[in-house]
Amino acid sequence: MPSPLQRICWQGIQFDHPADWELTRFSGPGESGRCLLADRFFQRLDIHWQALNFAPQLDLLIEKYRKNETEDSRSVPLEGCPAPWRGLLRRTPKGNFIQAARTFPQQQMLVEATIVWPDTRQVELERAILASVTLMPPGPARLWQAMGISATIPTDYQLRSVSTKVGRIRWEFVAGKNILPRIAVERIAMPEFWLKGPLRDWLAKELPPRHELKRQELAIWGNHRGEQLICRSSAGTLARLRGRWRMRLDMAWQCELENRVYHLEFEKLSADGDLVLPELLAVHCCRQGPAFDSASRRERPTR
Amino acid sequence: MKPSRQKELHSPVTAVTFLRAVPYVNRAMEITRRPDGGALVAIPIPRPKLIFPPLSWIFPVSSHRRVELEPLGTVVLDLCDGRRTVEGVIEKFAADHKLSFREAQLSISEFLHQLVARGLVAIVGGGKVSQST
Repeated sequence: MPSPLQRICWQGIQFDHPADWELTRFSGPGESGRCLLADRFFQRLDIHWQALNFAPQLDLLIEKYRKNETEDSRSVPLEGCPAPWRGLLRRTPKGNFIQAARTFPQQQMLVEATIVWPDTRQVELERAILASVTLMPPGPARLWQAMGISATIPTDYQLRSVSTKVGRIRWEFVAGKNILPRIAVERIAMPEFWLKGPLRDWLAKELPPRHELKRQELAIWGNHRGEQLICRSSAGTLARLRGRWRMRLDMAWQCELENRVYHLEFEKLSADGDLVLPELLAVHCCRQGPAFDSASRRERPTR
Repeated sequence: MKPSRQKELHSPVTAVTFLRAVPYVNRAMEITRRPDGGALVAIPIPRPKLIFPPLSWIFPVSSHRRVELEPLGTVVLDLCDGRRTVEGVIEKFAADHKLSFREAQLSISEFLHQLVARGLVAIVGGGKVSQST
């Protein structure tokens, strides 16, 4: 029975994949886009995308694919794939390989996909995957969804780093070239083993040194009860003379359904006082709507 | 050792082979459970031939190697019951802790290799034999 499809949204592109194919490699900040997915045993789907300043000729690209042919493989044009995808089907003793490409002319984007079928080729699934590859629509905020995290981040924030320790995924975004303002989203597995006390104690311990705690309180986002704290640290002599501090807001909540702790950080240079979160910032958990979003936070009073 | 056997032992282990192999715990080891869920495991080790009295009175040599396991490590060791494959161990661990297969696979594969190196577990099957002490 085929597993249900899941969606990955990464660096401006989105596509569907079977739930048992998991992301094993992905492009970081400043790299051309790539997502590599594998099942338990084999690499299954590899998607590359890059913006070009010219219109690529798919015929030449497919000819290049054909040159990779070995003695024991036989390539035929890929038939019935959703337009405007074009590609090759390569039959080898180890299985079938699909190499396909398409362009998005308006955005001058070239997308290439490789699908590996080690045993039976599932044509319908293959077509569904190719048809689902689209560019994210432009807008003030963009959805990032992969590795279990789903977050809507304002478009002016760019990915700065990704950390994928076992059971602990962390994405960091910055607006512009400076390190501030900064948003970090973290999702941590197996809290029953490492969360020995209340969430508030853990959150306070997560703060870097030389941060002065201003306020810590219980808060409710969606159907989750969590903790939030505001602290500040020095941003240098000049900034201090201008009355500006590195203000930092930390939020954490435990999603019982996913058995994960979510941790959201927002840091910016600002005058001492409350922090205003970026509009449209949202972190989704339980996959039933946002657990936290900056708009609802202002409406719902904290406890 | 026959060349074919040697070749088999040193051939690279593929993901398929490893996942389909079965981890067995060392029957000679003694496990002392701790209240926090962790465990202290003592594995008998051969006594060095050159250490005998009175030398052994001056340089006492332990007859056991002791390995301390955290609660999560103990859970994984308990899952190695000689019936489950590595894939089965990962599946069970992932299901119990709401992890994806890949998340559990990375940590458990690494941990099983450490257990093999310390002689707690031997992984058998799929054409590859990983022998513990």
